Amino acid sequence: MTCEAYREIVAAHVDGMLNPTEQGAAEEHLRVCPRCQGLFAEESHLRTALSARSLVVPVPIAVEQRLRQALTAEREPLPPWWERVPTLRLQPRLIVGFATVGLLLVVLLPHLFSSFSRQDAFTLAIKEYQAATASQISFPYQTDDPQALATSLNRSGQLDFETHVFDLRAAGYRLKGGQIVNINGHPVALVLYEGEDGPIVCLRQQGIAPPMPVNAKGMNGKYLYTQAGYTFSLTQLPDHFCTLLSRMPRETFEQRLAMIPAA
Amino acid sequence: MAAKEAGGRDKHALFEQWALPHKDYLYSACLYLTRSKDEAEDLFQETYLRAFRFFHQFMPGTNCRAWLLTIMHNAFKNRYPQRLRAARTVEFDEAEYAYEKKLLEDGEGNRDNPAELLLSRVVDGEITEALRALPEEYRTTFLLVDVEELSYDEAAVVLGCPIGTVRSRLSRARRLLHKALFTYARERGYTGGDQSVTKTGTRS
Repeated sequence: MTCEAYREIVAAHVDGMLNPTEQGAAEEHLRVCPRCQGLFAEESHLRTALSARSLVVPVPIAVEQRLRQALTAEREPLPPWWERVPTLRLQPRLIVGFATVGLLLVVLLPHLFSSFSRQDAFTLAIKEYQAATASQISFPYQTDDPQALATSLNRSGQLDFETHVFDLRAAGYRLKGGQIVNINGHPVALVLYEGEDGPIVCLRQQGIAPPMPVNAKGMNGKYLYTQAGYTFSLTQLPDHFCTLLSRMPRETFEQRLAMIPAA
Repeated sequence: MAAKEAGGRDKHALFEQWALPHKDYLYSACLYLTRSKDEAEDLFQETYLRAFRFFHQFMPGTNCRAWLLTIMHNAFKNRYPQRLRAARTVEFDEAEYAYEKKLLEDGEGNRDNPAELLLSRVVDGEITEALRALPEEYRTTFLLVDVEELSYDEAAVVLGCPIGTVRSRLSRARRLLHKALFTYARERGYTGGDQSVTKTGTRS
């Protein structure tokens, strides 16, 4: 070991922090080097002298107090968020604005996610009613038996849901027949009834019923709505929805519907 | 026990129990490192506040003082950019040469007085002064090992350097400190020949 190398490790030698190999080399070097012996002695003396002293300086009281105050401030729980947002607390009009926007979103969201708009749905239903009652639609499934018609429609393989044909015979209506029409690319089971108060057309199609207007009337899970001289009854079923429409006044139609047995 | 779990249970009480008892050691390190009372107080407070905010990262069972000193050392480096700290640093060779030269000029290069006795006569203030005069990297290493009583391994972690660097810096720091104190002793007329102090009023 050279003197230069020993000078780099003399502290570790004094502290007994050398590994056995280094320790052996250091001791071997000291046996032949008086200068490094002096170095070892110097650092040993210093170590001894310093170990008897305390170089630790106590924290001044004022400094410790300042630290404890800062730590206490760190520990204080934060106030509620609404107290930390003064603008919200001071401007109630802003809160009203947020509430209005939220309410509008709640009202409009069903419209946005509906398969088609309310206007489209009712307009298309009216067109189908007009076509069916004007004999513009042929009825290949002509039968007076609602169950037989339902079976024929379901067996056609054109519907993607299980349809049901109401039996309105007890209410004085006669079943004219049924057909599968296409509305907006979707198969719809159309059934035509005729009675003293005029025809009733039933449309059943897969999906979610269009949102009802605010003036629609709820009745036993159905909604009654009048538009352009037509009265609609919409019912949402598990896998499809049913639209009944006629030209009867709402009150009359309501009475007729009350006579329809549950599907 | 995980630190996070311990911190979640009662962070404030555990911080009081584990971290605050080291406050004197930490303050001393801040004082020696910055060499300024005001800066030391700021660094001391910043270190403890950082430690409190990140107390969940402390691993119980490890050396809390070493953990605090690591935070302090990082805060110190952030406060004083490398360029600024370098300006305060004196190269070892330069410093050692200056001490050697002074010793020779004073005719004391033969070191005929027993060093141990001389060192026993210097007062704490002189040691502090000599310590604060050390170049930063040697001062820091000396502080960690000889004042804060960290192991070489812990000091290496705090400084982010190999343990060999700690050993060499410590050797140099002690050598410089020894020479500085030896010089103080001679300048103040202390002698190692007997137990008395020749300089009036310096030490009883």
